[in-house]
Amino acid sequence: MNRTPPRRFALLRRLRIACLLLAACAAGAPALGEEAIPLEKRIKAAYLAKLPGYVTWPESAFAKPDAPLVFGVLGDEQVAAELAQAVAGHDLDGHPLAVRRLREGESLANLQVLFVAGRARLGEVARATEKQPLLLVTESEGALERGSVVNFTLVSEHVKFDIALDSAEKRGLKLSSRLLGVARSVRPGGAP
Amino acid sequence: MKSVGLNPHRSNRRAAPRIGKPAAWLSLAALLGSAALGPGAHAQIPKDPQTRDLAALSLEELSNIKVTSVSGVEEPLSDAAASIFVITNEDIRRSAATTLPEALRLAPNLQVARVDARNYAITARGSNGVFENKMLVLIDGRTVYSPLFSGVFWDAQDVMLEDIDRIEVISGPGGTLWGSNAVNGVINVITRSSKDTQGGLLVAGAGNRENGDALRYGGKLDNGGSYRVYGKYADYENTTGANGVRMEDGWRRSQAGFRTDWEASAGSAFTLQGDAYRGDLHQAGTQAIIIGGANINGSWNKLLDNGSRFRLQAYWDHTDRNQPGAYIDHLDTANIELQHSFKLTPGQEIVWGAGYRYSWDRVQNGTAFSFLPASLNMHWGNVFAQDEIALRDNLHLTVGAKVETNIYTGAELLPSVRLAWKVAPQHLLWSAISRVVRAPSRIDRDFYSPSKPLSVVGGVPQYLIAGGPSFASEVAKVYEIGYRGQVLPSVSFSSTAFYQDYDHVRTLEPGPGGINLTFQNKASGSSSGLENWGTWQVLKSWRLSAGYVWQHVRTKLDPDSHDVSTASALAGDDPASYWSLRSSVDIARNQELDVSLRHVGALPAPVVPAYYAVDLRYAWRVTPKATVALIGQNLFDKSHPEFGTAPGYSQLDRSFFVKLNLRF
Repeated sequence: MNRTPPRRFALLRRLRIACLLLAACAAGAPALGEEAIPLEKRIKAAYLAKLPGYVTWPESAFAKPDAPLVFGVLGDEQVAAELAQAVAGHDLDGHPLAVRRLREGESLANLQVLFVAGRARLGEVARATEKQPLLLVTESEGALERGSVVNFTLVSEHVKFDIALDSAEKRGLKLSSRLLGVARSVRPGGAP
Repeated sequence: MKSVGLNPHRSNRRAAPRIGKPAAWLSLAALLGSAALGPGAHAQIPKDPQTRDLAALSLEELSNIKVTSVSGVEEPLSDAAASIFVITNEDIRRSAATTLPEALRLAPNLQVARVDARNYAITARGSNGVFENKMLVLIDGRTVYSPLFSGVFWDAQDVMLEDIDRIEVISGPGGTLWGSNAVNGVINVITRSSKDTQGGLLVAGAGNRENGDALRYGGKLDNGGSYRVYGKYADYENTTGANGVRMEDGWRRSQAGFRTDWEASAGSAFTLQGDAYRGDLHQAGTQAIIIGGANINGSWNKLLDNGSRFRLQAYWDHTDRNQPGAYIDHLDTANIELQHSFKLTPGQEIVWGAGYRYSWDRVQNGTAFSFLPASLNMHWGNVFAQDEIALRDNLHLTVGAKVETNIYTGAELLPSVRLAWKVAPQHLLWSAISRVVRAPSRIDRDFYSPSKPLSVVGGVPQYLIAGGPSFASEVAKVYEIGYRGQVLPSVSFSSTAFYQDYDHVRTLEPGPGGINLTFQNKASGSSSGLENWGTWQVLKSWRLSAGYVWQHVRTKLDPDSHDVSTASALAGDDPASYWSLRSSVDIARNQELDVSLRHVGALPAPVVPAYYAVDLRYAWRVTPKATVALIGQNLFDKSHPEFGTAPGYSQLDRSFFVKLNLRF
């Protein structure tokens, strides 16, 4: 046992302070611009970027183990831009993350996540991808009934989301209980 | 009379201070000093500058952002009918705190007084002291109070600050959900899921008062789960008393731990975590106090198909405290509890649960005082149920009660009724009435001093203090009314008025001849006041927060009481008011400036002068993965005491700290 442990560190401490300060001054700071994208869209993009971490896709969802995990964004350029920046250069379980901006009528193949802004094209998209291992994310009322898995909704000015486990199951997706725990409501699935 | 070495924090070498002066051991006052910061956040998807603030947040935090606010993260506005303040990971990151107790200063509804380098007095709503015993403190659901005195050894509690998800601070009773001891408040430290702490993080910090380093690494498991492991080290210098005497209160501490989270199937999540620590803490005139401990804590959360939730948690906790000249304590605690919540009808949500805790306490007593019996097995059992009834869409009534048993007083009833009325979508009015108790702890029943009886008369050993064979639970009835809401789009505000009515409060009553003092329940008291706090998002990049508490704490002895404890450290010492103001500015996308000012009113007995303290943090994100922060505490004051007795109380010096956070 040592009666005065901290004292002996005084010199070391000074050295460390010097080193840390030096480290701070050694590098320059990147200058960064301001962003005019509304907060609501930035939050949705942040959610989107995090969602794959709470979802397990069947192996068939990827052409090969290192195939990219592709987010499709339909109908919202700002969310797409924000999301692209959030995921650029990152990967998840060996899948590089990528974002595709989709136009109406474009192929929905080879996507793992699809965000459909508004409600206009939802019915058609949901039907076209019904059995596909695709995490369909939406932001319109009643979207879960139409085949969406995660639906954003504004609750007292907070962006919350609801989940349809039945849709997830149909698509072969497994959602983590942590995600379910944060959801405002969860539509139960059929599986035990 | 002889010394009353009650203080588990500090051995009492003095030959014979009088009863009225046991506060002598506290006589070191305060020294505050640490500083901290760190670019906490570690989302599993790393952030870029544009979305860095958001990507760093957990799902829960994202869902708590108010999108109409000019920017930034608002106070989570929970609908709970209680005086609750949530310290977020971001709050801690932007504060000057380097340790858990320092981080608690961020809660405007807590009185936090640093007694010296390692001791703290922390409470809500009064009765503060190093023996404070009316707060329940949990770390990831693990109770950290010591059954020796139902308080917390703050010098032994640690977590990696960067891995804290949030600290829920409830001022006021929480007995129905959390059990006895939650009389004046509950502090709930909740760490992040290992899923949210992926990758490496190195924190290196040094300052004129302290050092602190931590290393954490998080990765994925083959079963789809995630894990993290961490290790940390910290030390703190001795402080100096107001009389110029060098205190022996410095410390150093090492801790390591892990956490893993995984899912067995959809809706079924497991968490297993554990920590082990060791520390040596200075103590005047003896070798260092050696502390050590380890715990393992597992939980299972199951979301059932009908939407109901089930939770099972079990932990085992071992602590050692070898305090030369005082005692050696080995404590093992095993705890299991379950909770189930479900919708009974569309308008009624039931939460019910049960728990059982068993403790093996082994004390090797010293000469100044003894816990008798030295070895004691204790157990607590509880069942509770609570029904939240939607009387109308915007009017919720919550009725609940817990029955908790303990070995001293048997069953205690802890009921509460709460009403929450959403006057408008952003405005909540609430009110609550609760009954809660502080059940006896070992100090109330088993404490004998000195260890060797003064004499034996007629076969009966005579002590100065002879336990508290008849000590019963202290009881509080608490009345609260509060408002919480969004006054303007950029301003949120919370205000609570409370009245805590205490009965059967602990006193120390002399026996015949002035010896054989026993702990009894011959006082009553009250604590009333107002707790207010708010946040104003002035600009997108500038946020102001303020808190103000006014309180009136009063104790009244029963007519037949001859209490001698009021002058001791067992009595509380509370300011009539305390407030704080914090400003957080993003100077540029990669630079942050945080300033806080706090004021704590004078403490009446023992007298501690009122003080102001200014802390400052400047952080510079040098690269996306490296941040350096400069921290100053107590900047405009050479030193001040925060607690204890003049002139020996510890002075808390102006201090500086540099901290480097590196993600990899």
